[in-house]
Amino acid sequence: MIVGDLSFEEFERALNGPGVGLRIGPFSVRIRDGHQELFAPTFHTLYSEFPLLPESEPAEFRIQLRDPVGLRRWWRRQMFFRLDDSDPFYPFPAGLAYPFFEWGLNWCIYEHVHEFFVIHSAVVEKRGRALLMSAPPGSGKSTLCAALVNRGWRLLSDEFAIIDKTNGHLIPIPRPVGLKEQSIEIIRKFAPESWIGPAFADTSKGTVAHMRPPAGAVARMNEPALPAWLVFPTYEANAVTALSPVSKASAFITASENSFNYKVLGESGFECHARLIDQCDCFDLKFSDLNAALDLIEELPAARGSAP
Amino acid sequence: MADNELLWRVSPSTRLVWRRWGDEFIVFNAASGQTHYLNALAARVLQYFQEQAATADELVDDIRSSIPQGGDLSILDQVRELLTRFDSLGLIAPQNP
Repeated sequence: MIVGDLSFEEFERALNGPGVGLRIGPFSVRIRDGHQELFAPTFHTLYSEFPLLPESEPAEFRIQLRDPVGLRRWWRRQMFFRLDDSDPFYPFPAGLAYPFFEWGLNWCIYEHVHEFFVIHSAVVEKRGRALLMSAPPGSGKSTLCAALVNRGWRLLSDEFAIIDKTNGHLIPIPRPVGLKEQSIEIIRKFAPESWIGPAFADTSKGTVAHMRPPAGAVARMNEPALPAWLVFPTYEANAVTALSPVSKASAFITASENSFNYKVLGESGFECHARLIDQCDCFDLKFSDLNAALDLIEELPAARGSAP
Repeated sequence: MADNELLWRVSPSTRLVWRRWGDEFIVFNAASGQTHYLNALAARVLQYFQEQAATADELVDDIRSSIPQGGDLSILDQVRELLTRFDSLGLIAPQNP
């Protein structure tokens, strides 16, 4: 059973009762409350394809979006992101409940998940070969990711490369793609058929919105992919769009700096990262023109001559 | 003891894990958890001191003996810079003779 099998009323009742449990790639999440007018409908639509977790099954991450006690329940209303018995963040404006849920879930993953090697990276796949786009926020990786997904690449994640340390496989976690500022309009125009949720203004990252992951990506979220390309994108207005090879040692250092847990994992992280670098052709991508950047990326599989 | 008579080596208790891609190297210090990017000369210096204790002059002689025309005169300066850098990173340490 998937989220979309529930009517909105059933979904909201579950949210306000025992919570809604979801399987998201290798993780399970149960979320409760979130009494805010935009939260439930946005969540219901963006996660419509995700499998529901039976009520009896425990979830790894148990999240509650709760109202505060006192004045801030009504006046300039705030909410808390609660993980079990802790409130890891300051309260946030209630109107931003949905983006805070997404950021909070990101935090849950990168703070707690050390059985995997985790890099800050978008990951998409074609014919079994995965492209990692690793970069700090604001580099355009989510825009590229959303555009590639709308050109037939499978979404694994727009935020995390989750790597199985035992075999180097990339584990999908195809959550909604977070878009910021101008990217929202760019992707709305690029892929008018995609469903992009409400725009939330005045967050710490500016205006944000989320693109619903394609049903096919969610249906295949138990299918890992093999890393093939590691690209470091940088959006730069007026730059000549170009893909330039990067040495593997240099790529190793850059990607390790973009990892959430390279230092935590010690030697096993080093070995896992070295294997990733062995498996990948590595490039810098500077771009100002989205379509030109996509065309360069589309040429990668042919250049590698990689049959599935 | 003068600086050029100091014997250097990688501490036997320091485990270094290496990867090489072309002329570039990445070395992971399992003791400190630090990762270092090395060019070919830096890698050669560190590997040399991983195998034995030696002075900077002995190392430079070894490098020059393997380079046609005796190598560049600046190698000694580069090696001394590397020794200082590796020492500050805890990769090598002076030994008692």
